[in-house]
Amino acid sequence: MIEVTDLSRSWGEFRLERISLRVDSGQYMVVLGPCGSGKTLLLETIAGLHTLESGNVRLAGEDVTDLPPEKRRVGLVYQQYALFPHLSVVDNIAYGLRYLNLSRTERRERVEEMLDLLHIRALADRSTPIGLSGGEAQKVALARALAIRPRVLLLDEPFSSLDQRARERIMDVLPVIAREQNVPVIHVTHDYTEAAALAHSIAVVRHGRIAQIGTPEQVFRRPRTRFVAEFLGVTNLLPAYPVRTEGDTASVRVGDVLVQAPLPAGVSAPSVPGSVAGGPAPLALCVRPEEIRIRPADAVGVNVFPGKIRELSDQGFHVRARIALDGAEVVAFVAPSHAELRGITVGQSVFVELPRESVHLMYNDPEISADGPA
Amino acid sequence: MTVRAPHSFQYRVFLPLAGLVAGAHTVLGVLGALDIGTNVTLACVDLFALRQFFEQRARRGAVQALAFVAGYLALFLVFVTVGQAPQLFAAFGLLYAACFAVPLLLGYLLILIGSVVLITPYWLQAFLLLGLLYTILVPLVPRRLVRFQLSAFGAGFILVIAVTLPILYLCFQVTPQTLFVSARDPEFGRALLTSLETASISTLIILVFGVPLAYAMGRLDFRGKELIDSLIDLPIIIPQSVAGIALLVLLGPKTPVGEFLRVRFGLDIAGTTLGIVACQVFVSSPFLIRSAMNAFRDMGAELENVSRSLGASPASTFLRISLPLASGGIFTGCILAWARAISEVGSLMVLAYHPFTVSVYTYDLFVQYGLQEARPAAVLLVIVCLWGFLVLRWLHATPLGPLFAGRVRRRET
Repeated sequence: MIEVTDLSRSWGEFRLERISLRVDSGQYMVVLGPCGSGKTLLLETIAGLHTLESGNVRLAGEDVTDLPPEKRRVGLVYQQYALFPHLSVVDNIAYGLRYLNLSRTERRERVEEMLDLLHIRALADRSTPIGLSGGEAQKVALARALAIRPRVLLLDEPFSSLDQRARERIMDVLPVIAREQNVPVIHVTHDYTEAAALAHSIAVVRHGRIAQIGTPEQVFRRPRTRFVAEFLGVTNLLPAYPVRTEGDTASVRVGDVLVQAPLPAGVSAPSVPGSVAGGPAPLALCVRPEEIRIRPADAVGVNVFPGKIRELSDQGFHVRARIALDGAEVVAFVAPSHAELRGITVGQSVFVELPRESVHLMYNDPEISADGPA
Repeated sequence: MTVRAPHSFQYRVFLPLAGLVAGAHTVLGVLGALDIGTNVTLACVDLFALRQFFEQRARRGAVQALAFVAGYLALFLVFVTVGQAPQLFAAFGLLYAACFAVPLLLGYLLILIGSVVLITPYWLQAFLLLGLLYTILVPLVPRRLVRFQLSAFGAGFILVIAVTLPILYLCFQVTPQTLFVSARDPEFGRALLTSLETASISTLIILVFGVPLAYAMGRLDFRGKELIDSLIDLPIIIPQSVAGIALLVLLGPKTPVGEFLRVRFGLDIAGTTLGIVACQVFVSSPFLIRSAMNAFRDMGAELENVSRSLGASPASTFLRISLPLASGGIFTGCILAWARAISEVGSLMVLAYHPFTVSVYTYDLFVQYGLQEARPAAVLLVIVCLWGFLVLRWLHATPLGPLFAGRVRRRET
């Protein structure tokens, strides 16, 4: 288990500010953020390579805030593998074992175990890591980090230099390894598809702060701010004017249609008559494009609106449809087979459903989250 | 003769023509236009050229054969009609006839002829340098390289020539006999030994203090780092004589520091081996430090971060990761610093003229006895320096090589 509390530290202009997160053993956390958001610095700080100004880091219950990196026993894996080029593959894997008070046999057994764990026995007799493919190199780097039985595994964009196939293979084994080795994993990336595939929990960082932290379900479908929504691929962010609230359901006006949406905790939607007339919309309504449904014309139900297909573009695995509603426009991803079935063509009139459970309301101001001003 | 000659047609034409050539040379001999040795040689060369002409015609057609004849006549024009040197014509004609079929060799021959005709006093050096240029350029031509870049190379090569030509010329001015005599001069031997000894000690001193400095500069961020960075290069900017004067003012016999060193440790700086080392350390330190700094910087910090995360202390990380990986750059720096130390003269003349290093000794010979005496010593010095350089380079290829060849770059993806 790793627990980071209120971690803060400055590097010139840049600052990590009050970062708190917690990952249980065997759990997989993905830290998502754009370039320059401080992800790598966060990892290196957890590893002990930078001192803290405030806050603390606890590994397996022990406070390691003041320990140097070599006393923390963390596994660190970089995007560019950072294998020691002058050592053989086996010596790379065994590098940290000499500091662990292990007997010669124990060390050899540990290396063997890692070779099997990552299925890289074929590389065991390489006298240098130079010439390994990206996937092989990253597996060796993982084996080297796991060999010391780290108390946390820190992965800095581990897949960004890999081709698609190698990435998928390692993605398959990583969560299994985390569970089997019972090690918490913090994986830093800017690619939200990695987070969707791997994470038990996700922290989105921006400008050195955590913008949102939660389960993938929470972060992907109920983003707290416009930044999180946009960064995680919510294409539909529509200005919304509250009309009325009934229990936990709010009716909001988007363009000229009235959408019903669940009202998230912390968001208040007083219907201000003045805001209807004009001015900036106080709320934003977001729907992930893959959750919008295209329905037959006779469909009835909540949040079903007539619309017209403006544009279709084939994205390979799905069709991206731009659909005009009354006074608004949404983007929907439709499965190619579904599009064919419905005979969707540009200019055609369709019915669009924004399923009530997929619709999410937030404040329109990028700086204000559901918990109040950030 | 029942066996048909392979080129029966050629031989039908060739034999009468060959008879004609032989006849013409006989006539020349009878007329007394040439002495008999030259005449016979020329006849042989002409006959060989005639044979080559038919060979060309059979293999590559009439146009090539005519070009061959034209070239041969041009040689004749240059060396016999204009140059009045039939012996040279014989030599080059023979080479020409033999090389014509191979364009690469023909190119070398043309460079040789051009050097002999146009740059007569420096023909050998010119031939070596132009031959080098030609060797580099020939494989480049079919690769359709950008013409601008090729011209850039051509322009830059002038500089290479400017550096190499004086040295090459110097080396050709001395006969092996005089070299041998100079090399056995005991004074020279002593000076050489002093040079090798002091340069090695200096390099060692710079190594011991320079590598930690380079590492710290590569890993630490502190105020005034740029200042230190500039100070490292100071000895390159300062004239050597000034360096010598500065050291003399600080460490000389009448100065507080010099006095202290003599009274306390019995050490004299001025005019001793110690002074030589002080000068050499001063002038050659930037080369090693710079080289080591680049090596540490190129390595980046990630490898060290990983090493520390795996449990290695900073010192252990330095010894197991940073130093081995920077050793190539450090080693290159050692070579540069050592070579610079050997070649130092300016500051030594101020601080420690005696005992002679080989560089000061050569200069001393020049001042006292003139060019004639200094030349062989200078050539010997060139040979020693090149030899040292080559030996150190060669170490890369020995079992010790990995110690020096740690410059493995991280793979870029």
